[in-house]
Amino acid sequence: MTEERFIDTVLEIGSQMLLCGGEVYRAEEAVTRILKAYGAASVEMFVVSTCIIVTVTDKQGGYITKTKNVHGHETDLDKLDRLNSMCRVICNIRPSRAEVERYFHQILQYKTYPGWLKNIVYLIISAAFSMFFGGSARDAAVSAVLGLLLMALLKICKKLDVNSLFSIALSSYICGLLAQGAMRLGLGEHLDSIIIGNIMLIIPGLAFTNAARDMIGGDIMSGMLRLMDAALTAVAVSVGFAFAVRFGWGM
Amino acid sequence: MTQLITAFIGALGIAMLSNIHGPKLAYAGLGGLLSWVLSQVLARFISTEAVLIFIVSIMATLYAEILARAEKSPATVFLVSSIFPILPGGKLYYTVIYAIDSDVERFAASGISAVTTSIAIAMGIMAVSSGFKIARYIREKTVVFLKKMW
Repeated sequence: MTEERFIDTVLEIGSQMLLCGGEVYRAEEAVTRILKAYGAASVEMFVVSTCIIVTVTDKQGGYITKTKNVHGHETDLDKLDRLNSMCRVICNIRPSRAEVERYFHQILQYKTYPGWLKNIVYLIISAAFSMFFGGSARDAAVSAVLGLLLMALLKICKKLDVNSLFSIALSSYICGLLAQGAMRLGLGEHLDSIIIGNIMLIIPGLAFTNAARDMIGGDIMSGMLRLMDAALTAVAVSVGFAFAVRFGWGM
Repeated sequence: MTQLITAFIGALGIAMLSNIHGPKLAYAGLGGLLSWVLSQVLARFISTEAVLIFIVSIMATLYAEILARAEKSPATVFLVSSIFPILPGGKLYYTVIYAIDSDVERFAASGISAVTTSIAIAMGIMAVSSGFKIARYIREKTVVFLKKMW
């Protein structure tokens, strides 16, 4: 396999790490270590949570620069876990380059939880957190249905390519209206618990955690990017719901 | 009691959404439960909310980092669901409600509370993870030093 193709693969490993919820320093370390293990004289990198730029110099003094964009995020900590162990193994036993690529593609093929199970998990999370914040069993049931609806709306918005913040605010608004409607029909008892159950579904816990962890790693810029992302998402959800509650039916 | 069970189930659900499998899933859910229990117990002794959340966050991160070492996987796997029950989701909602009602006093109170809680969580994570980084650095240096001496 050619040098360039191998660097592509390694960059792809790094970008997959960022994509599925890894910290910046983790991706940086992984790419640097692998490339050095396979004979690079020096590796210079610039990594933020949306982009990787790397320049590799080989022992003859020739160099290659490559850029890799990382679009969006699909949280998948299991994949991150596997990629992480793969990097450790690669650096220790140095399999052939073709082997590395094969192993990497194998990891990409591991299955995630099926869609229907995810939908059930949405139901469960909304119900659990609505009871956690003082809701009754009936509130939990309403919250569960709305939580599922909220995620479905978000999925539709994503397909229509709507700006993500706006789609979160809009979906929250619609669900907020429906939550109020459920209250009027006498299905729910505590409006706030129903709504907070739904909010917790979208609260960006991972982005927030990673923002903090990026900043420890010295990646202030990525940390700030992620922090802003988390803060804006959180504000969008709560604004959507709060508007629905205050400017909903019968103002 | 309801809160105990729902904290566990909620954290478990969050972990499942992050596609965590097998025993790690149970550890992640347990993390959420533990941090909630801890925050309830400590609330009896500590009245300052920020300090309380800071300590809970420290313990949750310790839990996650230790498990990460034991399971050889990134700490994030356990950390996300462990801190989930103490994230200020509800406070944020009330803050916006008060903002719309132009109830300035309550808006300020719950807004500040939401922000300080988030900062306390972040500081807790940073403190412990940096501690683990320093420990790793010292260990590596010691190994190098010992090899040289040999």
